[in-house]
Amino acid sequence: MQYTLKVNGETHEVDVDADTPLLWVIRDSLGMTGTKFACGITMCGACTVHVDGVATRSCMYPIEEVGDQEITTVEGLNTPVADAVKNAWIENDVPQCGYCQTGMVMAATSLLNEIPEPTDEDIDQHVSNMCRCGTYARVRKAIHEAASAAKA
Amino acid sequence: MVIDTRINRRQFVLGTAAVGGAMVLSSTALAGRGLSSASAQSGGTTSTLPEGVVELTPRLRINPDDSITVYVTKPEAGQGTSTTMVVFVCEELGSDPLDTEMVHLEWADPQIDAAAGENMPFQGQMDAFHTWFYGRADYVRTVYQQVGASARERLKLAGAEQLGVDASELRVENNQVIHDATGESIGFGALAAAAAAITLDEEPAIHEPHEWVLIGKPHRKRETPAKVSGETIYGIDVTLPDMLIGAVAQTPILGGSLKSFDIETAMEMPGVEMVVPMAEFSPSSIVVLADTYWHARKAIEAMSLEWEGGAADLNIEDIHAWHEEALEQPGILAEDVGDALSVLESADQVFEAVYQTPYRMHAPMEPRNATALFDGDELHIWNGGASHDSAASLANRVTQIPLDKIRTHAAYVGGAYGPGRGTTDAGLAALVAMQMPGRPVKLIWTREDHSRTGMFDPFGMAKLQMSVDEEGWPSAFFVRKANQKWYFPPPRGPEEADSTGLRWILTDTNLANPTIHAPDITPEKREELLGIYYDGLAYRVPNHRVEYHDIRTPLPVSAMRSPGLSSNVFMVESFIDEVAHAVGKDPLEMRYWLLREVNEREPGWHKVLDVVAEKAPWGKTLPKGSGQGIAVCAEHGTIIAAIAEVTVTPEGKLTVDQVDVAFDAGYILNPDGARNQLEGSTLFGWSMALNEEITVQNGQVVEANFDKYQIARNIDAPRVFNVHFDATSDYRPDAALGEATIPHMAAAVGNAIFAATGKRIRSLPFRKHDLSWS
Repeated sequence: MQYTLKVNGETHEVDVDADTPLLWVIRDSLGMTGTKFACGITMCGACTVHVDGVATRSCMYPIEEVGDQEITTVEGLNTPVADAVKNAWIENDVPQCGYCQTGMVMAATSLLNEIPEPTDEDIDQHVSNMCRCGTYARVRKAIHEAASAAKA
Repeated sequence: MVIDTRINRRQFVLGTAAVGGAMVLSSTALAGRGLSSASAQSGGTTSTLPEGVVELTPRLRINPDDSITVYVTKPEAGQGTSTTMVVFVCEELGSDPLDTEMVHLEWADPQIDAAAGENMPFQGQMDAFHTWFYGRADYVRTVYQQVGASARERLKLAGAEQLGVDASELRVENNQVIHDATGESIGFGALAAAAAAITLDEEPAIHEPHEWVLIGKPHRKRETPAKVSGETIYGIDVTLPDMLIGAVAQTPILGGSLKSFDIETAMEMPGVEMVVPMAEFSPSSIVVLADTYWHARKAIEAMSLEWEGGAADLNIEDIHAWHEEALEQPGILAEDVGDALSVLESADQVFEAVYQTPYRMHAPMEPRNATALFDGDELHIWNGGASHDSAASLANRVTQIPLDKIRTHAAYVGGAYGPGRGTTDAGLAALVAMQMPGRPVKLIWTREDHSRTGMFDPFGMAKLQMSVDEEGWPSAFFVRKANQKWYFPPPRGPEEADSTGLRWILTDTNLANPTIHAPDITPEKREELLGIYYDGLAYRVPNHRVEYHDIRTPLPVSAMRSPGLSSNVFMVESFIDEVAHAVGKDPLEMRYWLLREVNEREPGWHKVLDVVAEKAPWGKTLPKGSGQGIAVCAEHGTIIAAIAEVTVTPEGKLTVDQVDVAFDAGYILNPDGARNQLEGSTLFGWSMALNEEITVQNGQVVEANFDKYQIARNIDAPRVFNVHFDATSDYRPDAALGEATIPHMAAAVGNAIFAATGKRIRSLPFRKHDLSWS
């Protein structure tokens, strides 16, 4: 079935089954591999995208429910807040294996869009992505630094 | 202390070749095998390869455009080693290792260094395409520094010739040869061909640690910006023209086989190209190839797969019982000093406890996957494997394609926490690729199948006993441990390996380490190699006995980050703590006493305790409900002490308020990388201790996805986390940091919980215990 999809400011036509998760449309139909498959049951956050600016796990989100909402993937992050997050992530060498990190960056950006100066408790609640390598100490530090940089 | 940085000249051979205007420097591996694909790319080579040496591994290329390319022979799983290898070269060559325009990194196409037909000593595997830890760097470091230094001297001599000056007046910086006296400079590119033809009278000495300009300074990883932007290609991201995606289904029952499946339904579904039952090679697997992952997934789920056989009656209670029964019997003797059994027999008081650790799984965030292509002549394999030598070796065994016709291609690795990552995936992908010549096939596992096929950190149970003398110091210590040892076939249970052995090769653990399974390895040699995982107790008690039982179960087990220690250290460090509290001794003082002998040889033991006790600090006065715990051990040669401070609410909610870590890993190649590994391994070890448990019901692994197997999250992380470098000494050989604090967290937190609440935890994970107190 044909669907029209808005991703990173561009419009795409895809021909997929109605129940295809947004994650697999992004990866297979659009060839954008920055958004990751890790668990497939929305438990880990590696598949996080923004749907109309809100962090959303895409691995169980069927394409037929997306409609004309604006999808942003990590490839399309280009706001000052997103840039502050990415810079803080690089400055602090946050990723280790890095597989979870695009989802983490999407969650962190969404948090700062909503709460420009989050507390550690805000981070706990809003950035619940799983990281097996255990980079949480740097994630927290980078989010605080990004918050300061974005404010400046 | 002196570090021997000279390479054994008999073992190390370096050759240069001019290839299309570039200079390629290659060297031997320890076993003398390498490859020549990169050095034979364009015609017109001139070579100074030594007589009789046919193939070397390329290490460095000086390019016509002035850039350099470092050939990295280690997969990158986030431990930073690929960047570090570039740093080794740049240390000598004066280039900027993070400048991705002027310094390139390519993966050296690995041929089968490790399968050269010999039993390679563990050190020899340092040149094989396995992931490795920071600390085991000396051999690789000296090779790459040597190659960089050699290139530098040749470039300077070529530059001296062109400028008409003496080479001693020249230096290198930013890919230029520079003559300070006149300000003239020549780029590497213009000198490369001439440099390749130069013969050095002798190879230059490499920078010693006191001379290091780059090594030892903190730096980030080269690929971090790409990991942040989403550009990094992991195995699962590999995309090739005309590629088919394969959904894989594997037996949900341990050791089960495929009984029946509905192929017609699958073949009628959109996008499906082929169903590959794998029955001949792997009765536990089936693959459906389609144009997209979702099409393949839906088709495989519509096939009414039925499975039979295997350990369908197995429950975790059975495994528990096997271990419990074993502990009633004498085990295999591992260590016996004095006469512990007699002393315990005649002691007034014997402290005794039984401790238990569960099965756990690696759970890398990237699920199992591999891509393969058979083009009629060569078999190509792509994945984020941790051991490409093993992958090629397995592909050769299952497809019969000769090793020199198998090429593996490295992708970034989405987490590798033990051997074997990617090996069996590559084997299965290779088999499927043979069914579809000319088309790449990418196989992707579900998280559930990834989890259920293991490999697992083994279940463990131990009985510990201790007596003390009149002053309360330990007089006898006895440990009897039961757990499944790794690498030994066959599994226990009703199923047997099939006649080709392929079934349990593809679902089981045994190809993780080809050295252990080399056909002519002696039992003594195997024991010696396995001995590296038994560090032995650093504690010295006058009478001291260790026994173990090897319990075979149908679960495939293997080394998981900090193997053995993640169980043993929890048990020993908690039990020592029990005894200390019972006899009224400070747990820190008890550690000093137990380590007094080993500290004579390795002063790092007391030093790490000194530092962590000073910094935390140890001995805080805390209200009831808060407490501190301490743990110390050596992990792959690194000595580490950790203090955890926790708070437990009366209702039983646990928070880790602070963790302090002090360590001695000898000289540190990258302080930021070291800190990263200590932070990461602390969280990893904490996740294991807090949450992780694999159980079995009716032959099926229960915790197959992250709803039931919860990796710790931000909210679980220690609130304050301090890494202290003050205990590092000048040099510890072979010290690694990748698994550093994994063993400590369970014990340090368990001991802190006791200090806080009076409740002693003797089994993991913590979340299963009621920590409430009043």
